[in-house]
Amino acid sequence: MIDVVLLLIVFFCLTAQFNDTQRRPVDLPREAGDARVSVAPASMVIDLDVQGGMTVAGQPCDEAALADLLARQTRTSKPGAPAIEILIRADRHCRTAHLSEVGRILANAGVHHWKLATAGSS
Amino acid sequence: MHLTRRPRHYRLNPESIRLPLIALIDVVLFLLLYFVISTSYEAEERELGTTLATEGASGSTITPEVVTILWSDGSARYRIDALEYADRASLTVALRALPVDTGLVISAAADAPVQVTAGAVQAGRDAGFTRISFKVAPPAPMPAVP
Repeated sequence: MIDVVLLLIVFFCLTAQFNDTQRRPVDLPREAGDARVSVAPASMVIDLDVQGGMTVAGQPCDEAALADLLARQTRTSKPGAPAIEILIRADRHCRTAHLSEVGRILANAGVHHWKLATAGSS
Repeated sequence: MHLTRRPRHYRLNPESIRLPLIALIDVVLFLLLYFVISTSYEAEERELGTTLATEGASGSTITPEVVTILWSDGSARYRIDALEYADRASLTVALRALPVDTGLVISAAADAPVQVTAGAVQAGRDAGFTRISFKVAPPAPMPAVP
């Protein structure tokens, strides 16, 4: 029985951390930023590599696919529910134009507020 | 079920105590596995600009302060109105002198790396601005060839 309980604990730990382990290593801007205030994980994490390539939930994604994904998420969210929480993990060497492009897609989907992930030290 | 009762004057013989090593090793290994899995080896990520927004989202009539990031030859300069600042520290000092209620717009050159843009946003936050918007300036026109 102890074996089974421990196996269950291991299983729940694995599944709980799965969301975070999906995050690819990105050379984030080295800024102090703020500690994460939200308890819930971000609804969508967009990785932006040095060339401006986007990755959402571990899958490469182009502009049209991102717009599609956002539209779907907006449609399925309940009325009165908080807005989609977007976290952009952009490579620190990536051109700001790429970040702006993501911002434009988000704005077109009605998402005007997003967060930029930082590495936490200057 | 038949239960044997311990004699009243029963004394435990220390030599008869046996530690179940196999079960103990199992439990220790499971605990070790649990701690290994539950530990996060990644550096903690932080977030910048909880109110970071694409410009035009607020619809406010108050004109915000604008910091323009100029990027040339691999280095950044910052401009507020007509004044230019060569480094981040002087930008932060200049921003501290401005009223924070109006909000701040970071207008970044398209070629500037995200590090520089994030640095300007951080400078704004360090100066006390809470409403920080962000926009990208169009690329500078190429100088005319004579």
